[in-house]
Amino acid sequence: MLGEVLRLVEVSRRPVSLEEIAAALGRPSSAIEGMLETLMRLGRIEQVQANLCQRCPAKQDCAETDGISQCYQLKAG
Amino acid sequence: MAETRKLTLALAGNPNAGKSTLFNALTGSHQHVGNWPGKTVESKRGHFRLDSWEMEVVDLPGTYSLTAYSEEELIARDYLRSDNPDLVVVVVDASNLERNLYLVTQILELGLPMVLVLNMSDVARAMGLRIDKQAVSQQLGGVAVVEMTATRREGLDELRQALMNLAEELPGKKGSRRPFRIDYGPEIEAEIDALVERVANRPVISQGLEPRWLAVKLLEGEPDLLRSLEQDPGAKDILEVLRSAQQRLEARYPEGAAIAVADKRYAFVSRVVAESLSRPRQAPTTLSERLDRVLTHPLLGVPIFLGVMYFVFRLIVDVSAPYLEWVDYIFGEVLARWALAGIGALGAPEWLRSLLVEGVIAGVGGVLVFVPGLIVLFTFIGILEDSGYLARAAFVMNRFMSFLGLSGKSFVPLVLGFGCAVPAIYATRTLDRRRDRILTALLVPLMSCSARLPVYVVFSLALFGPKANLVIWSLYALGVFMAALVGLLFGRLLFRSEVAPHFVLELPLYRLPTLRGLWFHVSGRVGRFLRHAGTVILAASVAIWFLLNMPWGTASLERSWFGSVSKAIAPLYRPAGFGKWEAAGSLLAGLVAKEVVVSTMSQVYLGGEAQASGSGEVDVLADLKEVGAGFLSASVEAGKRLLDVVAPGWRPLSGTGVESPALGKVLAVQFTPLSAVAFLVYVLLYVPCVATLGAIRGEFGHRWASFSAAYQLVLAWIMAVGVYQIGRLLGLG
Repeated sequence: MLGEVLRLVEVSRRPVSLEEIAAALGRPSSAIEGMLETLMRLGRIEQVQANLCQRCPAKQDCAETDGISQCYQLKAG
Repeated sequence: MAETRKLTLALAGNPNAGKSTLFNALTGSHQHVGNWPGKTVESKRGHFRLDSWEMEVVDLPGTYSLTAYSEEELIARDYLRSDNPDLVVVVVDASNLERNLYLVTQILELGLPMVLVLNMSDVARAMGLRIDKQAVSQQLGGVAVVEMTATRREGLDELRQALMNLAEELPGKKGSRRPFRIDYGPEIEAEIDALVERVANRPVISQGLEPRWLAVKLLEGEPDLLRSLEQDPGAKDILEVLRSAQQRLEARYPEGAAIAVADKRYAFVSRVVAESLSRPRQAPTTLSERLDRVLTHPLLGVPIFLGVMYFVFRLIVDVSAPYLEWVDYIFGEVLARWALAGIGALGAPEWLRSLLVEGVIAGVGGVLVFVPGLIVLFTFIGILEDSGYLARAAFVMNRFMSFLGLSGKSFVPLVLGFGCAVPAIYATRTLDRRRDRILTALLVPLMSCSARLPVYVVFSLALFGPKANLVIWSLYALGVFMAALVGLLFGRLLFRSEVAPHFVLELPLYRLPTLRGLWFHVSGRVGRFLRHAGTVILAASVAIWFLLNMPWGTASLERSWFGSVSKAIAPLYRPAGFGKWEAAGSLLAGLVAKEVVVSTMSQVYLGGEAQASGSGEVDVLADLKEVGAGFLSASVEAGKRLLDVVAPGWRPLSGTGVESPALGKVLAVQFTPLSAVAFLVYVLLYVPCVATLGAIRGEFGHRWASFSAAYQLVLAWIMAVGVYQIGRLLGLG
């Protein structure tokens, strides 16, 4: 499961949020949260802030203007 | 009579799983409990009796895994690994089972006898979760599983029974129990077996620990263990076996051995959850989720937080003000009169009367009048903590913290600083980077601790009447603003610029604070304040009284030793508008503790008055009736004011019906509103107390403590002078 989370972050070309990972793997966010913490501790991924609204297809019609979320990406190096 | 047998029991678990609540329930202690992660930064000990067993309980800081990254996690890991407790109670949040079980498996692998507590069962049930505890027990090798709601003491008897059963089994079972094992798959198991044999033969490395656990940790690359191996000349063969094992595993698992091992552990946890947990088909939207949509909203979160804090400070002034007058009457008149009458009847010398009334009652009593305000403050801080809102506040302030180059975790010690700077300095141990720890510790003293509140209240009520609560709120806000400014400056000048580390703060579910929990908060903190009043403030009051009367018999306070030193430093404060010796001397004495500013002012301004007002006849019954009536009328007034604040259409504090304490009346003459603001700004920003400096010195060394004292003194002076001079230019004073 940890490997799947890592691969998902790896293949994504952009930072991914906890909710996106949980939805993609069909698991509750609370379970994925601990795995992300472990991967960060192992130095494999890092947490960044990213504006998810920028790439949302519904951004024109959405009232939400600030979609900055905690996301995850592979750690450089 | 049965012989008493002793056992050590460790309480372990993820942060905010309810360990401290359970610790209090078991031992009857009053450890600080809060609904946020990372509050316990060192292990706490207590005792309780269970039949013929004497249990020593050790409450460990929360940790997510036995591979430690922060200092408090290191404390928990080292204790479990090296101190070899007889039993471990692992407390897990039943509403978040999957995440919590990861640590459980690691402690089981360590081979420690365990009772598993599924805490917060009420919350899990409300979420529609059903946990089959028999299945959990079976999957985890027969470990005893107890469902609990520790805040309501539900399940406590069952836990005590489980502990007793395990304790009775220990002598025969310890060492012979079937060790818990996770099947890591044939490739990893083969490498574990190869390492187990070698590790078991090296006592320097194994140190009595389960060899299989050590082998797994070595494959995971545990830094401490690798260091021990590298430093042990006789362990070269183990290192060689380990290196080749890691190479083989990397060929099989491209993501590396550590990930492969952790992955298998997570797979095991998933199986346990699949066998034992049933979720509702459609997860209901919980109240916590609905509240979070508003309270942690990216745009609304910060204004809501500021509004909540304003509401709390408004209540502190509005609700406590009527009681302030009442306590002031008790100390300034009733107790002073009684003391004088008692001492007069004993024929005590004049100096003893002076010491008692002008020193002790004026000094300590001057501080104790603020106890009602502190009760209100601590009650509301307790409600914010226990409800889970403070963790949300940390979450919404994360972006602000990142802007300062700090981790969002720094917010927790900074908020604790509103109570007392000393525990807040210790709470910086939860931060991962040393630079964050030092920078946060330098900023903590800028948060208005509760000891400053008496100074704010007495000045604000005396000089700003209806706007008192606004002045106090502004001082708290100024502290936060200055912390931001100083944080930005020091973050860039003193420390290498680094990207703030990840911030994972588990948001606890909202809980309704219990009266019992609030009682612990308020009684513990007010008790500490009263102990402080009975020791530090009493000693400082006696010392100041002595210095005010030396050379012995001096008729003028100004010519006393205290007056002479105060007069020498007073010119420093002239540009800030409070260059009188009384103010300067109070600030100097306030270095001991901030409450001493008020107690010293009570002595230098009121010492004689207290004696005059207390020199009348004593009618104990009439005094007691007056005290009772005063309490009733204060309660009625406080009730009205509470309604004004919470009900829509509330009126602002009118200022009528509440007089400032006796000291306030003198201050209204001695200070102008502008010089009072400058004085309050100085009190806000200068060194909080010697205990805070001691804590900084203890944690980071004398250089950082000296730096902290120096920068705060300079900053306080510049700001106070700036406020006064700009105010004068604007024609305000």
